[in-house]
Amino acid sequence: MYCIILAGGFATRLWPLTENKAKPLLTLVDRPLISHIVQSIPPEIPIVVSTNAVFRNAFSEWRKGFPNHPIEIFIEDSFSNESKKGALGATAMVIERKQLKEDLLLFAGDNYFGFSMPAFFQSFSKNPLLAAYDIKDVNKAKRFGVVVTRDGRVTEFQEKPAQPKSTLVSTGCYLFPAKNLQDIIIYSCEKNDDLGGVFEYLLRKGETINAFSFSDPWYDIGSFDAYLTAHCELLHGENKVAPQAIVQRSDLKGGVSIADGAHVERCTLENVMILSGSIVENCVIRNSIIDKHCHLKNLDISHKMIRQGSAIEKNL
Amino acid sequence: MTPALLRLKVARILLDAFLILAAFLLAYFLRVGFIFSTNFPFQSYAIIALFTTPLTLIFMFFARAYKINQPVLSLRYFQRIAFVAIEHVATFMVLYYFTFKIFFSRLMLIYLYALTTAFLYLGALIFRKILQSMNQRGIGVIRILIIGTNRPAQELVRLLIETKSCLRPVAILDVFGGADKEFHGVPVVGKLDKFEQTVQDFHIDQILQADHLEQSLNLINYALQHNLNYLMPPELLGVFQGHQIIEEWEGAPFLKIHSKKKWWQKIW
Repeated sequence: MYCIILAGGFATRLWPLTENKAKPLLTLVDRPLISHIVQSIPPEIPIVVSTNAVFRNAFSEWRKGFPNHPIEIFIEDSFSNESKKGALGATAMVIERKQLKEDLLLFAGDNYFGFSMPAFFQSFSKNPLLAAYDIKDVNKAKRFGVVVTRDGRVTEFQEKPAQPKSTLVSTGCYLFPAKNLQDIIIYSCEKNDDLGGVFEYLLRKGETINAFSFSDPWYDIGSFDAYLTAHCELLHGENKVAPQAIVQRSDLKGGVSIADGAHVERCTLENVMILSGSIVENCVIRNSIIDKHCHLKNLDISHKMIRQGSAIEKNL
Repeated sequence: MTPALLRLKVARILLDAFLILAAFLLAYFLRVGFIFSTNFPFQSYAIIALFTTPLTLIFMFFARAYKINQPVLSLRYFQRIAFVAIEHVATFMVLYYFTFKIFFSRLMLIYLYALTTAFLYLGALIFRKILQSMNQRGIGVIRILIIGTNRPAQELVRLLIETKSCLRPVAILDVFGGADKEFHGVPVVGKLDKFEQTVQDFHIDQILQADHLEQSLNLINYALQHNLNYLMPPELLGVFQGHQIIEEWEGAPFLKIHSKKKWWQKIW
């Protein structure tokens, strides 16, 4: 089995956090989002991280944190959002260039999956398998690819439907048997950014598709709100202060994470992520993410992403 | 400020100096006739006029008459010129009396006031025309990056382009990634991830944020760190109606929104 993690997006909706960083490298709780995925994959499975040329160095640096895992950084030849390959196009490119002939485990690198990977593998029976999350809300389901199942088999796939027939949504985790890799390549020529569409294509061909339903945590980090929600829920309302961080005379509540090298003094923080090297003094901050090396003083802010290196002080 | 704009502003100041002296000259001849009167010696008059002129130009600076973003075709701008002319006449009167200890024609002061007001405003109108023609060649232009492609952003772009304003939109950054590639000839160069690159590539002088309020902190911070100006239309804050000013109370600034008032209500 081979694994591809798609990490080629430019994540424009999360600007400025993604100004110099790929979305899968955003910190979730205490490590990059993609690290959560890699740690759930058995070390004997080779991993290809497909990304674009802009983030080549960042991923190469990140890979050093996994010396015992066979990880290859595959560079798509795209330098901008306009010229990117698309999720399916990138997958097809890796399959062709690596001449893959094995079963393929495919992940969207900007998703967090809380389910058990061994259980997912056990559900695999030489038919395409997708992980489907019960979102339990029809309105929320409208924003995703909706999966209609019967006895664990997918009978219909609806891409962002106006009227979902189910609350099971397709996540960014798939397992394709080797026999279907050519289908990915063929369909990618038609629509290079439509991962869900390949399942509609397979259904039209009469292929059997299985669904692995789960209700463990799953987050698609597509927006600031989704990112904040994932951060808050994974912390379960607790606070996580890194050993090298300094926190003095501050009130932390509702899920606060403070990275190494950050300095927080006389602050009230609620559902806030403070990244390394930032100094925050006399601030009241709620539902916000403070990127690296910021210096904030005397501010009251809510629902903000603060750009890396910002120095903002209100004169009292 | 570019050297070309600086030269243009110096030319405007010299033009104003010429117009002020012309108003002095015309006021004198209108009052005493087209002769050099022995009752009211021209030489004394001319000396005080020469001393008054630079002071009046300083008044013009304080009235912000030389800022290129001032709306010349507005009552407010005319009021400023009119106030400068009052200061001008008062300065001349005091200097003349203190120097020569004699009073002189009151009618001439009225002529001087009217002519100075008219000439200075005329100068502003001429300069506006010159600036507009220079703008076509890129001189005196403030290059603006528009953040947002919503309707207010499009309306602002249209207004600035059609009025040939010195504020010239040169690039637009889309917030949500629409299909439009340009508005009124101004290119939509991408989304916010292209922000820093766009500022550099287009040599941006000012950032005008018309959408995406949640990014105001980052955009303002970037602008200040890079010595750029930042503009925001009030409607981004939900101010769609009424009149607004920045007012200070106890040294703290507030955006004050009020209903339209009669002119006499504004001075109380």
